[in-house]
Amino acid sequence: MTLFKAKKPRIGHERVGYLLITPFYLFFLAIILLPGIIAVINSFTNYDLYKTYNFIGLDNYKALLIDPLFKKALLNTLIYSVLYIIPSMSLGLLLALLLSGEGRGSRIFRTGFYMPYIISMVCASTIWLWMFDPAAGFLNQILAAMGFEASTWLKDPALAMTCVVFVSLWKNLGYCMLINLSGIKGIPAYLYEAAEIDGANAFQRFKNITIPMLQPTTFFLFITTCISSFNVFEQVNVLTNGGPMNSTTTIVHQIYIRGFSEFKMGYASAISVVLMLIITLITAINFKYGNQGQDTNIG
Amino acid sequence: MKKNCSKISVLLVCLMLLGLLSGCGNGPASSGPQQEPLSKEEMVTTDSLEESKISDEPVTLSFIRAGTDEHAQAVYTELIEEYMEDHPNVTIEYQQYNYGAELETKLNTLYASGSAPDIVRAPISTIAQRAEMGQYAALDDYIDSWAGKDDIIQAAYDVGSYKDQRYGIAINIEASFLFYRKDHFIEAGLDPEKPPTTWEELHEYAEKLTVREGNSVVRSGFSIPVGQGHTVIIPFARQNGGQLVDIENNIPVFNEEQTAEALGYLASFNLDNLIIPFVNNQDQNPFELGKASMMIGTLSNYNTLLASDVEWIEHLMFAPMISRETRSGFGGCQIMFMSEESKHKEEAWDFIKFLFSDDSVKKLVADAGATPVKTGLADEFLESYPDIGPTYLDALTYCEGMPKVEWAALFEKYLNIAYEEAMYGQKDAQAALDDAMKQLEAEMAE
Repeated sequence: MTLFKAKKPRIGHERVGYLLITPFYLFFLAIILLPGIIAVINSFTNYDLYKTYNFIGLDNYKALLIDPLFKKALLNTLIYSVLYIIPSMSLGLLLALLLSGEGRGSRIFRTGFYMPYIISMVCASTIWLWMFDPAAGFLNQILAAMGFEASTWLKDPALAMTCVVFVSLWKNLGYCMLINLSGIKGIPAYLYEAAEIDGANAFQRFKNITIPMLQPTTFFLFITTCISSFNVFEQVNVLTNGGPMNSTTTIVHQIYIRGFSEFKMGYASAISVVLMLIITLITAINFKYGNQGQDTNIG
Repeated sequence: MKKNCSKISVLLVCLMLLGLLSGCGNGPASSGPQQEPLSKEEMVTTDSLEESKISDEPVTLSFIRAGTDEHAQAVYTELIEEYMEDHPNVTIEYQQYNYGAELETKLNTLYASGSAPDIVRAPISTIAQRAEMGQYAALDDYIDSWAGKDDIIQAAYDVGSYKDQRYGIAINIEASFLFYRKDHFIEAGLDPEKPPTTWEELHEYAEKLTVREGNSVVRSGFSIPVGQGHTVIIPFARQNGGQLVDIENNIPVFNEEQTAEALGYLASFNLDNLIIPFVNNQDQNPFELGKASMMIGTLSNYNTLLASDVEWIEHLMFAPMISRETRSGFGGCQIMFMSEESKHKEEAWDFIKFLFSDDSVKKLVADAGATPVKTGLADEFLESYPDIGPTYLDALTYCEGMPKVEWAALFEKYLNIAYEEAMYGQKDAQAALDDAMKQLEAEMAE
């Protein structure tokens, strides 16, 4: 016989919980979900920002398939992503390893590397625009002082994308370093001590302890870096405006140009939907094949 | 003698501004039948009537200006403050944007979202499209009842007209011509009193004036942009007899032989490694940084140089634009428009009238290098700009602006694509223009 009768769970009992999360969901609905749905609907129209709004079926998507500029933007975005993701993740990890100590120097360098991340991308890009200036830029002055020939940097179609990637790396490296650093700090010290006692050298400790223990961090960084790479816009808009000869135009840059400069909001919405599908696909693949749930036995 | 010169120059200004008109659009629109000048009493009555329509309630006007020149910004800010002091119930929110995509994007967004600016100072290229879309308000009724309307030069009305309606009044008419450095000419063994006058001379001078370190150009002979170069190709095409746009049939024709030859000629400056690359409206012209010997400039450029206090200003000289079959330069018109959607049209019009008052125009002429758009101010203009003034006034006679067509923005876009492709040698000039033409026609057909 039970002394206390267990309270029967009632539907609606979690009212306070729902109340507390309501503001977030209202925000999500109004600012993220609704505009997303509207963009999908607009992608089937010839909406021109003003009066024209007719359903045209899949015409925008058909036009995308034969649009050389969209293909160029897609290719450029992929090139940017490859050039950005691999160095940012590997250099971020390297910096985190180098600066994981607690000395004063480490703290100064950590702060130094993180500083660019706190300024806006537009400001950072404007600063680098001056640095890259072929006529009076700082970089060419350094090259000249060292006896090298000046470069045309952002005005060189073969070099412009590399310059854009470099600016992104310069700005965001501190963030990758910080996330990796927090992951490294979370690895129990006794694992390294035990490995040392077992005679493992530094590389073996890195390979067999640090890398596996950092997998959740690496997974998180990879996903967020992938998404930010596919959404690259500000640095492109400020540094090159997609040029020279569209060598740096990206998907989001095309969305902006088509939507707000050329009045083709329906077409721009179709590009947005394609971008959303690409990002969803990449994220799904990451979740499927990336080891996002880390259950390394450290007991 | 000097007095005679001044008189002649007053006459010249009027004639020259009228000359510019031919290039700034598809012919002058009618400004209505000429009216008899109003008597003093009539003027007072008209102005009183206008004043009575203006609300005493607090009003906020938004004013967007195309252009980011610091000098002009300072003058406009000063004028706005002055106006607000005289009209305590009026607040003017002022914003400025770069020409081209930045301005177009901002205006598109504001008009689409129902937040149209009350007053816009924009270039002539915007008039046809925005008038057709009902964004700019027709000002005929306002102008007709304005006591001071006859003090404005006719060209200022004509460039702001479209399909027989006056949508704006030009507050500045820019003209471009050759800027060059006397010291560089002497250094290169060239006579600074004999600037280049033909295409061949220009190229030859540019070669002599270009300074390289190894293969890198550290000082270009003739500074032209590698991107957004429609303001360069348009005058060179016209110099070569090119038409660019068939206004009568309302179609683009910029893949004509003359334009292709002009584009090929301009591309040779980059392909022959004679320039330091820069993009118009995005980068600073190397000439302004002391890294070029010649450029095509305007009064606005001159004011920027004065403001930046460059040490070589004394070596700066001016010459008319180059000629071939004919002489031509690019002329931009800055026009004051009012939005059709504005809820405060009377107040907006009152502010526009204030900008065209004698004091405002004098200030704009003296401090911002604006054109004297009111009759009788040419003397003051020449006093303010004794060095550059005569060349500028001369340039007004041959400078032409963007074609006044509804598809001006598309025309500019595709001409710039062709320009860039040719400048970088990706395509030869004719192929670049042909491709751009096909794309423009396809987009116009849409």
